[in-house]
Amino acid sequence: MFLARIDGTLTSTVKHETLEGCRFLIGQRLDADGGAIGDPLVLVDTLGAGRGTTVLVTTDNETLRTRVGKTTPARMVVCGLVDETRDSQVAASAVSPTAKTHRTRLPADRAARNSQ
Amino acid sequence: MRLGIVRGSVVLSAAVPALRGTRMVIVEPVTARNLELNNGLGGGKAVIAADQLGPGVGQMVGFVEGRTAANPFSPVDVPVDAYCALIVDQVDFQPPLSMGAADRKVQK
Repeated sequence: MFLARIDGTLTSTVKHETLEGCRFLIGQRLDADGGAIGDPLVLVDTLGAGRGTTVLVTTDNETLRTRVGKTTPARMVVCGLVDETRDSQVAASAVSPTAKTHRTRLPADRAARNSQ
Repeated sequence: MRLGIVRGSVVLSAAVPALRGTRMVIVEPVTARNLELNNGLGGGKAVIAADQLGPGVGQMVGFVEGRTAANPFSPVDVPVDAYCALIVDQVDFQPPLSMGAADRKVQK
């Protein structure tokens, strides 16, 4: 599993039969510092993630196989909308619109906490 | 699933029995920068993907990689690790801190 930021949408008419009716989003995988890494990914979404949302993505094919059929080739599915990430820079650069609070602790904060 | 642009197809003169009759396309993966600029370029290392949809050269497709790429051929065990799962109609990609492509919503 990894975190991704939703940066776009995609429509497709001609696709594998098991993907009929699926909602596709384009996401970019996030590094520990919140920066996008790698090529853009097509994600299957059932949670209604919007643009700019940070999501949890699973690459487990079983998630989709049980829902749409055993022959489905896709495996990257949005399985959670992220409210907050702690002790990482992810939240600082990729803020989820659904999040009410974002608690990002910088190394300096951590040092202060450890010294208490 | 990554996005790629179809650059051609592959024809085999000899193949293991499980692969016979399988159409193979040459797919050039699209990088984030090229997707945002929507310039028709790929930029990634070409991948050979099994295909049952029949996209034309230059069309953008979504292709899956790994063991799940062989699922559509189930229960036959095929040595396929990339599969063309969808043909893209329209893509709207707009990351933050963008590089300023004028028109991002382009009909494919």
